[in-house]
Amino acid sequence: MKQIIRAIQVKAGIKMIASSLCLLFLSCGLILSQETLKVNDAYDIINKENYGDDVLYYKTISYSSLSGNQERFNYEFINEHNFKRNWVLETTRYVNFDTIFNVNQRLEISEKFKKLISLKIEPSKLNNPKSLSKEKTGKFYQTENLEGFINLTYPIIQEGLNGKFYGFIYIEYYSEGILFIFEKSKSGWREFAKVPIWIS
Amino acid sequence: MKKFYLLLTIVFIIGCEKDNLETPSELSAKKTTFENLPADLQAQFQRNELNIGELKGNTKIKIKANYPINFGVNNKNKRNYTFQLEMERSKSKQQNLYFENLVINETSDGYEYIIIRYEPDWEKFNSSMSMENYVGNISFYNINKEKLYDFSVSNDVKSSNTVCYLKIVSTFCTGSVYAEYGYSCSNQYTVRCTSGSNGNNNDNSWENGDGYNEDTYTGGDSGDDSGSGEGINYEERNPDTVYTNPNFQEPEEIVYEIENNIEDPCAALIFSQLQLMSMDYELPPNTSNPDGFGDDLEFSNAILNIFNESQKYKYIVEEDPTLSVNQSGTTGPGMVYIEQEDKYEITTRFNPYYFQQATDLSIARTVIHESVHAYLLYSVSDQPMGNIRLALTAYIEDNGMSNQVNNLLHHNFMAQFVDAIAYNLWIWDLNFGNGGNLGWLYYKDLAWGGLSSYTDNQRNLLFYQEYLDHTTPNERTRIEKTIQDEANNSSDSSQSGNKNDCQ
Repeated sequence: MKQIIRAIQVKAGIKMIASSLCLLFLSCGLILSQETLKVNDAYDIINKENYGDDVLYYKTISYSSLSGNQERFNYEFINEHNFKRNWVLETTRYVNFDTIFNVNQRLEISEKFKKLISLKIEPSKLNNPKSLSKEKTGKFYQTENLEGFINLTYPIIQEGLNGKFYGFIYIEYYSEGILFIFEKSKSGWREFAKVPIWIS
Repeated sequence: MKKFYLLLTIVFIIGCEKDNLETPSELSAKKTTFENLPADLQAQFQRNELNIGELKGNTKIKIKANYPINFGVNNKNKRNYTFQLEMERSKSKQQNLYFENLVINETSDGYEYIIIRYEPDWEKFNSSMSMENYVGNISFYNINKEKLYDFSVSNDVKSSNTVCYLKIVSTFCTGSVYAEYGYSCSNQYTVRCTSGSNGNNNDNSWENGDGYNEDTYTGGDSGDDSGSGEGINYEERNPDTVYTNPNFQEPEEIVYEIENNIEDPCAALIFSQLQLMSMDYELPPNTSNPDGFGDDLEFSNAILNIFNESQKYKYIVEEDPTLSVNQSGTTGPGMVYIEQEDKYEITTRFNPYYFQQATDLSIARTVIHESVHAYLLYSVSDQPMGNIRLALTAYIEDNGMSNQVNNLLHHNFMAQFVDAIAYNLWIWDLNFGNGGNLGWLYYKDLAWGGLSSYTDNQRNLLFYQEYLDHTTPNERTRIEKTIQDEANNSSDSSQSGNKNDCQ
């Protein structure tokens, strides 16, 4: 009798362990798939721009590397200085982001900027895998043979009050730096607003 | 259409200048213009040269055209005027030897004239660009350049006003003169004059035996009787007397909202020099300039006044070692609001490696270039209905740039400033650099720096449209070479690859 009871207990234990493991794997899978989705979204945003060969520096910009421009990478600045198309034609900001993000979401955006780290860009996820460069060559005003002169931050993605997702990416081009805000729609990410950061 | 932009901007500038001249703060700074001098005083000049009977032989006294003229009124209601004279330079070191003022005192009989020559310790002077701690010689000459007396000033000069990059030296030892070099700001300080050699005049009171006297001077006028019609009576001076101006009124504090945080000593100095130049609020000589200047020199006024305009907002210049190698300088379009100060600040960051590499002339060009960016950004932000914004809007619409952020818009629009940038480079080089002898074409070629080309995302080298429209292929080859020679201080540059004195 005791043996029967033990056998039942063992079976039950095995079932519990198996169930737990299944739950664990399922949840992990869910988390993994969410992370994959975020990564895919991030690269979708990065790929909104077309990069030629060897123009994109292979690491993203960290918050600490933003140096003197750091004060522009927070919710308040973005909310005040965003444009739809052009900073001259538009006399007021394009959108009041307070209507899109609640207080917690605003704080999250600023926090996410502060947590930006330098990551290696995965070439296989780029539309043009050859666009990455480990070099930053060239002399001042030597415009030929420049490599790796485009720098960008890893995109930040934030859900808004309306359930829509917004992506923030800062790109340094040859003569200007712009922070883009994208909005995710059924057809993918579309440019929503932009914030000029610098011009040279 | 370009005429339209030109007209808009000129209207804007003229409007601004009129306002500047009428503000009480300008009056308190005791600054005037040649056109506002009494007619009989104006009549003593032929163009920018003093033309009076007392002058002997070939003596030439040339005032700096378009520079501010300071004036003061003494307690006898007599005025004195101080003009800046054109500077002489050392041929070998390309360094200023001295600078001079012409002081004209109104007397009951007419006018009396004196020339004050300042020979500072240039090393110290260049590092501070201020008279606060002036060290050097000061000499007094009559109108025929005959020395009256001189003395040296040790480092005992104390200023009670440290907010300005001032070059005010006044009459601490003479009386009713008010001398200024460059900037406009009333100042008060105490100076100790050592007795020193006295030139041709052996009976002046500065031979006081015990080394110095102490004299408190306030900007404008010393307030003694020397302007009463009896001329400057040096005999009346008592070395122990502290001279003060009874009419002195504490000047309005002029706070220039510019933070020069550049660490590179040469670049910091160049910025200060350009800042001084910006005080020339008069329009530059127009039209028939033999050097072939273009029609749009009026724009230089806007550029020069960038720093003046910045009194209304905070302009910060600093270095940023994280800038990319292709960026000699960047200017932040979005002004950061400083709540505590209730001001917006705009920041230009320069690449310190560029400072190490480039010639002084190239650095001056970059400072001006970035300042124009700052000026456009400021104008659009501060004056949403102003003419700069109107001109930019018209330009955008005419050129289909409605979706451009900054690069193409700024750098094409700024092409109309090329002559003005070149003019400022020439003025800077004339006063502080190589003597202004590089030829107009060289300055103009250099002025295209940053306005000629850029690299797109496909690594294509592209020219800005305005640059293409205004230059031929041969000219572009020459221009690119000039820009790169100066940026990299090559053997063909203005410094021939040599480091400058500040490095």
